[in-house]
Amino acid sequence: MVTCPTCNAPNDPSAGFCDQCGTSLQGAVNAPVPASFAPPPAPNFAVGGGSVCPQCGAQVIAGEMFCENCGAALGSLAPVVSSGGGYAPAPVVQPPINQPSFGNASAFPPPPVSASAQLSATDGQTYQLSGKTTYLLGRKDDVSGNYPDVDTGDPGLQAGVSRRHAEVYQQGMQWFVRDLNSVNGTWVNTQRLAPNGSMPVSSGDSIRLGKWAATFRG
Amino acid sequence: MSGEVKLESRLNRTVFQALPSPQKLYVLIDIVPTGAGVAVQMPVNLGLVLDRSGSMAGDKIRKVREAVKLVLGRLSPQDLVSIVLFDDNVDTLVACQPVANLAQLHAQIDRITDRGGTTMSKGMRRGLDEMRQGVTPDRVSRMLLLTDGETFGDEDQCRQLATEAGQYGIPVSALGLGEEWNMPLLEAVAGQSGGVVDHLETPDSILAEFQRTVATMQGSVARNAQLTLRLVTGVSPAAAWRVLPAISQLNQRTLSDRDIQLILGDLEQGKGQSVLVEVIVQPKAAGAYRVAQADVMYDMPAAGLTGQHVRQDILVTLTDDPSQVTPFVADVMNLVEKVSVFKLQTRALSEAQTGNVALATQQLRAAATRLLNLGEADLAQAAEQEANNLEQQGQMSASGTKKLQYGTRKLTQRLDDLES
Repeated sequence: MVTCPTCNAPNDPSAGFCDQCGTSLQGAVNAPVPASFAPPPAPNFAVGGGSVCPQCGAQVIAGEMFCENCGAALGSLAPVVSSGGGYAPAPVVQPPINQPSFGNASAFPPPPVSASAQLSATDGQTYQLSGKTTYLLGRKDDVSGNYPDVDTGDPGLQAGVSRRHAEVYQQGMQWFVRDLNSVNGTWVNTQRLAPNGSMPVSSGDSIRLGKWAATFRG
Repeated sequence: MSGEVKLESRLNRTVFQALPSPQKLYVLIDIVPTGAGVAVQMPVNLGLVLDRSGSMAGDKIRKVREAVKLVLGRLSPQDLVSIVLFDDNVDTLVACQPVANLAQLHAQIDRITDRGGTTMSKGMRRGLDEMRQGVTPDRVSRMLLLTDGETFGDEDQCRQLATEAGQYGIPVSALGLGEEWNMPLLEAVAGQSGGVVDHLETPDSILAEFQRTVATMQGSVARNAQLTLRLVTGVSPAAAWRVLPAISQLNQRTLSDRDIQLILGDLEQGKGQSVLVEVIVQPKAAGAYRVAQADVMYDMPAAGLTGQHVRQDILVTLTDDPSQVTPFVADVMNLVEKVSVFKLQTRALSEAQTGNVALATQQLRAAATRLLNLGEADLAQAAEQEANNLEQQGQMSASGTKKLQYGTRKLTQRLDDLES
C-alpha cells in the first residue's frame, strides 16, 4: 500500500494518482510526508469565486465559457493572465495593403482616398487601418474560418470579443464604428451602441469591444 | 480487454491556473470502436411504422415508397424487416421476415396509399409486436417511426409503448415530417425508448434519413455501452452532453457521491460517440492531478464479447505561473460553443413557454450571434426571426422552433455524415 501524501488515503502500489484526491503518487513510496505536500488550502468561495455575468448579472463560475442564463460569452472571466507572458499569441501584424490607384482618366470621380487610421489597443497591440474603407473587428477562428481585419487574438477572447464583433468604416472623410450584434457590446467612449447601430468616431476616441479597448487615431 | 474500443479524453486547456476559487473545466471524451477484431456485421431487425393518414397524400407517400424500397435493397437475407401502416386503423403490410424476396416485397410496398386520420399508438403497438419476434442480443433492432401530424387522444399510450420498446431493446427513431407533428410527444417517445428524433423539413429528406438510420444500424458494432466517471474528491459533475453523432443532453445516473454513469447505447464502427462533460474543480495547489477516471463498458456480440472495459485517466496540470497556462484547445472550445448554442435555444423555448418573453428573446439573440460566428447563417437567421416573433407576437413559430431545435443538434456533425 502507498499512502497519499495529500489526503493519507491508502492506494495500490501501482497507482499513478491517488484514487481519493487525484494527487500524483510518483515518489510517494514509503517516503515520509514532506512539508511541501501540505494539503491544498480549503476552498475559499469569497476569493474570486463570486463572479457575475457582465450582461445579465447571473452568478457564474471561473472557467465557465458562456453564461448559463443569457448565453453571453464569458471569456473575460477565465483566469486572468498577465500580458507579456508566454501565453499571449505572437502579435498579428496586419500587412499593409497597397492603395488602389485611381487614374485621372476615369469617367467617374475617384472616391475619396481613405486616410489611413490606426487602433492602439490597451494590450499594447497596434493595428493599421489602410487600403480599405471597411474593417472587420473580431477574433480569428480557424475552425469556423473567420479572419477579421483586426484580430484581437487571445486577449480579445479573454475580454469577451466576438469573432465578428464590430466594424470600422469610412464614409466620405468621416469614420464610423458599427456594432455587429455582438454579445458583449461595443462602446465609443462611454456610450454603448445599439445592436447593429453605428456612431461616428474621431481621433482620440476610445473604442471598446466587451472589455477589450483601443484608442482610435484617424 | 482487447482494445476494440478506443477511449481518448482532452480538456479545454492542458495547463490551467491554480485559482483560489472553484473553476469549471470542460472534458471531451471520444469513444470509438476501431475495428480491431471485428469484421462481422451484425444482422438488423428493422421495423418501419409509417403514417399513411390523408395528410401524407401525394409527394410524401410517393417518397416513402421510394425510400422503403431503397433501404430494403441495402439489407440482406440475414436481416429482418417488418412494415406496419397506421391511420385511424392499423395494417401489417409486411410481417416480421427475412429480407429475401425483394420483388414480392416491392409489390407490397406499392400498396402503400394514404387514407384516414392519425392514431399513432395503434401503429406502434402492432410494430412492436412484430419486432419483438426478431429481438436477439446479436441483432441490432430499431423502429423507424414516421409521422407528419398530431395523433389524437392516445399520447399516453404512445409514451407507454415507447417505454415498453426500450425494455425490449428496441430504440425508436422518430421522424417528424413537415411542421404539424407533436414535438414534445416524439421527444418523449425517442427519449423513453433510447432512440432519437429528427425533423424532415420536406419529403425530399425522407430517403436520406431512412438510409442514414439503416447505415447507423449496420455500422453498430458495440452495444450497451456505458461511460462511468470516477471523480476524485473536490471534483463534481455539472452537466454531460453527447456531442457526436449529434448534440443531446445525457442523463447521468449517480452511482455514489463520486461516480456518475452515462448510458451511451450502440457505438458505430469508426465513428462512435463523443461526450462533453463539465466539471467543477475546487481549489487545489499547483501540481499534476487526476480529475477522474473514465471507464467504458460495452458488449461486442459479433466477437462474442460481453462486459468489456476500457479505461483512461483524465489528468490536469495546475500552475501558479500565469505564463505557463496553455491556450484553449480550439476543437474542444468549438464543441463547447456549439453545445452552448443548443442549450440557449432549448432554454429560450422553455422560458418562452413559461411566459418569460424578455429572457427568451435575449437568449435567442445570443444564439443568433453565436450561430453567425460559427458560420451558420441560415440557423442564425431562424433564431433572429424567432426572437422577433416572440417580441411582436409573444410566441415562436412551430416551423422555426423545429428548425432551431433539430438544426442546432446537428451543429457538430462530421462532414462525411452530412454528405452521405
